[in-house]
This record gives sequence, structure tokens and C-alpha cells, in this order.
Amino acid sequence: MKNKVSELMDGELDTQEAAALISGLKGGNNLHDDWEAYHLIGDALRDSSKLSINLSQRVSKQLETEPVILAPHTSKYLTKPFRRKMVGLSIAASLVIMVTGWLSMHALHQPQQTLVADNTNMEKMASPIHVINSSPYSKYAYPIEPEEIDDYLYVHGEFSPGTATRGLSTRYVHPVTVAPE
Amino acid sequence: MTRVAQFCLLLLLLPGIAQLSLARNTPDSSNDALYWLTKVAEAPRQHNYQGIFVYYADGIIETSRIVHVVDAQGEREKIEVLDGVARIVIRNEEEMKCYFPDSKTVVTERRWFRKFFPDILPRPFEDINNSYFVKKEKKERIAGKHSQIIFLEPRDNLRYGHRIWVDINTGLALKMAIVDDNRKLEQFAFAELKTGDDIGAESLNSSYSDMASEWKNHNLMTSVLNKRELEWRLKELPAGFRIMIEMKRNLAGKSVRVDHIALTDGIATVSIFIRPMSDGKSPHASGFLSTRGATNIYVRAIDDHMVTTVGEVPLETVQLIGDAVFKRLDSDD
Repeated sequence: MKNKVSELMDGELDTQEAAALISGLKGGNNLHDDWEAYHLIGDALRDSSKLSINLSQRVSKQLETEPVILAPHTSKYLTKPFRRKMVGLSIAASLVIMVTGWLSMHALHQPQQTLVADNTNMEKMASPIHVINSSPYSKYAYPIEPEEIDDYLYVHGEFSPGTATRGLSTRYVHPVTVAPE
Repeated sequence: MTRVAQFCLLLLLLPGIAQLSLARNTPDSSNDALYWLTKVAEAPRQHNYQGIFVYYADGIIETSRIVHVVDAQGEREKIEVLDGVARIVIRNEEEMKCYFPDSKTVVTERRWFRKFFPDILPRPFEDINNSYFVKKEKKERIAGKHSQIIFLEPRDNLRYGHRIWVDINTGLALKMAIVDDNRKLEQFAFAELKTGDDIGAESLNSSYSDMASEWKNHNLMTSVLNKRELEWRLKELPAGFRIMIEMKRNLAGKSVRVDHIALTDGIATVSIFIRPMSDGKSPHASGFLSTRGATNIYVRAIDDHMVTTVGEVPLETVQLIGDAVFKRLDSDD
């Protein structure tokens, strides 16, 4: 069953198997512990600063012991002169943010230009070009040809620092669909 | 000047400060940092090692066991993928055999530029500084060993960053991450690593070598060509990229040979595959594919040929390189 939990996390189970396993997870048996352990391993590998430790139990315990405060507390900072000063600062800050926002939109957010190297032995075709990388850029998906792509990934493995067989399974290959301009 | 005015002035200056920081105008890499990279490149030729490493990308973990021996017979290696479909690679110098027990298939080929973790750097790598700013970061403990982190920060947005954890004693890469800004696209890391001369050649034995005599054998033939021998040329390439090798090769079980041009910027590699399209098939539209981790794929058609560009670089870069391909004119050369 541990393998099934791992496969569920990797999205490798079909709908029926996944539904059955999720029911098992809800049932409160040991599967839930496996689920949390696998997530913890994944987070550790990702160097996540927020590991998937079992927070739900801790939060429940904390809530049980936490006193409920019904009276609103007042702040010593909310005196009249302080509030007046804060209002002034807020208006000034809002104005500045509007101006800087406008400047950013019109100055910083110009499509980024990337200089492309001139390949000197191709003078006939070569005119230095600039590539416009605007965001979001227009990309569209290409229909998968699994076997052929597998072959190419395998052969390319000679040059890329991958595992011995990275790319040998097309279940990981997917079309890239990016919102059109 | 009142405090409010000072505050406003500071906010007005912020975009300028931000713009300066985006310019990535980084200095030359330090010799010390480059020296660490030399150690990473040379270590696999100097040490025997065996261990277990994990590959992690897009929520998928793949575990492999590796044995690497360097002795009078040369450099030999066995890599066994422990998760999913069984796969075993046996490498003897340049000859590589990949066994697939489930399909009873063995693929044999010669590889000159093999790069299996932790042998991740090309040799020599003098042009790395043009595309990456190499710097030392903090020290960390990986797989029970002390390591120095070296970061290859890209000098533009045409490539990803590479962070390498280098074993202080041996120079072997203990961990590597390909990053897009702060996002980790893929990682390799040893969970367990043993080095030393007591790792002998007997560890390389595989039960599959004998059994495979009955299996289906695909021999991938490669012909390395002289420069400009292919009928394809490349226009302007993205900054820092150069052609590494041009080949004609066959693929497993296919009769048609494909043209293969491999490029590098010193670290990242991109392959261009060009093959004629089958008769009766309409020309393909261009488009993109992606796979696990940092690999992106761009497909386009040139007349009756399909051009597939594969590499561990951003989508823009595979597109730039794929679009740079054109057919040699008769008047060329």
C-alpha cells in the first residue's frame, strides 16, 4: 500500500484507484502516516523551510488550550496627533506609489531585449537580431509524438547532466501552453 | 526637508535602484571559484566511488545506484535506476550499454561527451565565465560529507543557474540544482556516497550482461562529421552558445538517420535533431513541449524536414536556436 501512496502523490493512479486510496486515507489508518512521511521527504529534498510536519494536531491542541479574548484592546499609538501624522504619510505614500507604478509600467516593463551573438561565418544571412521577450509571451503546444521525443531525449542525454535514463518515459513529456499575447 | 518629503524621495528612487539590480552586471568570476569547478570536472577521473543518488523534479523522485571505478582498464561505471521501470547502464570507457529487462532490450552506443551525475562538467570549460558568474557560497553538509557550494549565476535570461555542492575532500559533486531565479527546476543529490580504492571492479558485475545475449539489441551508430559537412547551417546563435559537434545518427529501431547538431554555452547543452518528414504527411506546425525539470523542447518544420530542439535552457532559448537553423544554399561553401 505504501507504493500506492507514493504513486498517488506522483499522479500515477487512475481515477478509481485514487478514489479508493483517498477513502483509505480518510479512514484514519496507517496510510495517513505514510502520506505525511512522503510529503516530509519531498519537502526535505526541495529544501523547503516549511516541512510537512503534522501541523493539524498541534493547531488543534493549541486551539483547545487558547483562551478566547472578547474585549477589544486599545493601542497607545492611536492618539489624535499620531493618527493625523499617519494620514498625511499614507496620502503621500499613495501618491508616490501611483507615480512609481506608472513609471514602472511605462519604463521598466518595456519588452526586454536580448542581444543575440553574431555568428560571423554566416554573413549572408546574418543581420544582428534582437529577441523580444515580452511577458506573457506567445507559445503554443505541440502535439506529442511520444516515441520520437523519447529517442531524442535519450540521445541528448549524452550531453546533459542527467540520470542515465532521464527522458526515457514520455509520461513526463507534455505540451507547453502559454496564454497568447 | 521634512520627514514626509524624505520618505517620498526614497520611494521615488526605488525604481532606479530596482532597475540597477536587474541589470545583472556581474564582475568576472574569481579564480578561487573556478578552481573549485576544475576539481568537480577532474574528480570522476581520480576517484572510485559508489553510492545512491536521487533525482528530483516536478514532484517526482527517482533513485539510482552508481558504482564508478577508475583503474588500469580505464573508466567504468554501472548505474541502476531503482524506481519504476528497471534500467541498468553499463559504461566501459566510451562504450555504453543500456539494459531494459522488462522489454528484454539492450541499446549499445558510443558516447564521447557522457555526463552522468556526478560527472557533470565538460572539459575544458574555459568559456563558462562568459555566460556565468561563478562564485563561492556557504559550506553545507551533504550525505555526511562537508561541501563547498559553488553557484554559476547566469549573466542573462537565456540560461538557468547551476548550484553545485562540492565535496571538500574529493572534489566530487555531492549535489546539483538547476535553478530559474530562486525556483529549483531539478536536483541531483547523493543520499549515500562511499569513495576509496577498496571499491573494486567486481562491484561492476551485472547479471544482465549474460542474460542479454538473447535480447533485442539496438546498436546506435553515430558518424561524426566535419564542420559544415551537414546540409544545415545556423544563423545568429544566442549569446555564448557555440557548436560542439555535428553528427549523423540512427535511433533505436529506425532506418532513417537523423542529423544532430549539439551546442553548449560551457554548461548548458542543446541538441538540434533534423529528419525528413515521411511522405504524405503534411508539414507540422511549430510548437513547444516540456518534460521533467529543466528540459524544454521546440519543434518546427523547414520545408519537408522536421527540426526538434532539446535542451536544459528556457523556452526562449530553445526557440532561438531552433529558429536559427536553415538549409544550406547551393551557392554556400
